[in-house]
Amino acid sequence: MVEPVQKTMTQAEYLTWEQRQTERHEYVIGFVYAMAGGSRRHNRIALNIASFCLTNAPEHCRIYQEGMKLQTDSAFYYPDVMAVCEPEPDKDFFETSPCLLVEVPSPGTKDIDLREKLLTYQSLPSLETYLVVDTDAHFVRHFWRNEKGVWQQQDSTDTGDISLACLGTTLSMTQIYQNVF
Amino acid sequence: MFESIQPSLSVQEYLDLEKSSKERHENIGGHLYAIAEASQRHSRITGNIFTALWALSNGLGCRIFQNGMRLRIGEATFYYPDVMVVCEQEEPDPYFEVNPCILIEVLSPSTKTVDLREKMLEYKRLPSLHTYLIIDPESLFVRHLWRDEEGVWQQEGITGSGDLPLPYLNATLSLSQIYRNVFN
Repeated sequence: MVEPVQKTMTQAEYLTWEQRQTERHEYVIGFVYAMAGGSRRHNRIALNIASFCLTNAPEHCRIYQEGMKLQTDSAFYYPDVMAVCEPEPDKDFFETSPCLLVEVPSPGTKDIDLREKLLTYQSLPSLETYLVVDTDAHFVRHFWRNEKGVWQQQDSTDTGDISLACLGTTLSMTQIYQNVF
Repeated sequence: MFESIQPSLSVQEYLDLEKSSKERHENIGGHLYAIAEASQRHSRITGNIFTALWALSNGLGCRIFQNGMRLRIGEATFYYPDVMVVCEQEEPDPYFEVNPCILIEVLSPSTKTVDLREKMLEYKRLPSLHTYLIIDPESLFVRHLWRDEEGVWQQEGITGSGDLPLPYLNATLSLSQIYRNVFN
């Protein structure tokens, strides 16, 4: 279970407080939640995707792996991989307009990634693609916004290509799971 | 780790399935999540709250539901709130509500994260919602969230005893009503 630290904070209090912490915390409507460390597979998958993006994305896009906060209307998250192609926001400590988000669930975060973050991420006007990547099998759940702005979804197993529209490139299952199993 | 691949359901398919299914499911974007059985304490708390608010709600022409009615948010998200009060006269559909003014969830080990995080985020999106109460069945503790006069969400934690204002029902709900006969 994900336990909140007891005291509630405003967004401004959280941002100041978190800079002094030795571990990272997400923030959801007043509560902060410590982030668990990831498994080796989790880290390899996230790094595979982030390094593919870094190599293939247009120059003006910023790629992050786990270390950068995303601000939504009521929360701050640390996405496992985030790509942002909009101009830099004024604030140094978070992004607000990603076009690609990736989560690699661990046992404690699966429901959050497939439910809460899915709903919250899909409400971001800038987002075009959200991937949830399994660590136990070759399995990716792929959500994307079509030309009409309607969210679509598809599961990919084993092989196949996933379009990363905002980066103008295609990511393969082989690249995601390279050296993972 | 993932459930086997299933095609996501349309809203109509989901509503049809729920009518014939033995267990209830919440629906997040076409993916279904079964609702776990409630504990004794959980059931007593929801029963206490429903009983305390039933006559008040009906007296004002509001509809009150305990566990059995779906709440639709946006296009394809459906929840079964533990207690829901709707004061909009018009019924949007025979099988779901869309405009609650009060929502109440009683925590359980399997729903705690969803109740405290996801539902708080999603319920806050409802323009009609005024009050969201999250009840701890392990101790006398209620998290009270409400929209103030300026439309900004406020929250406070109440421990031990106290009254929760429910302006929509011109009433208050006390912790002793909520926890009556729960810890003995």
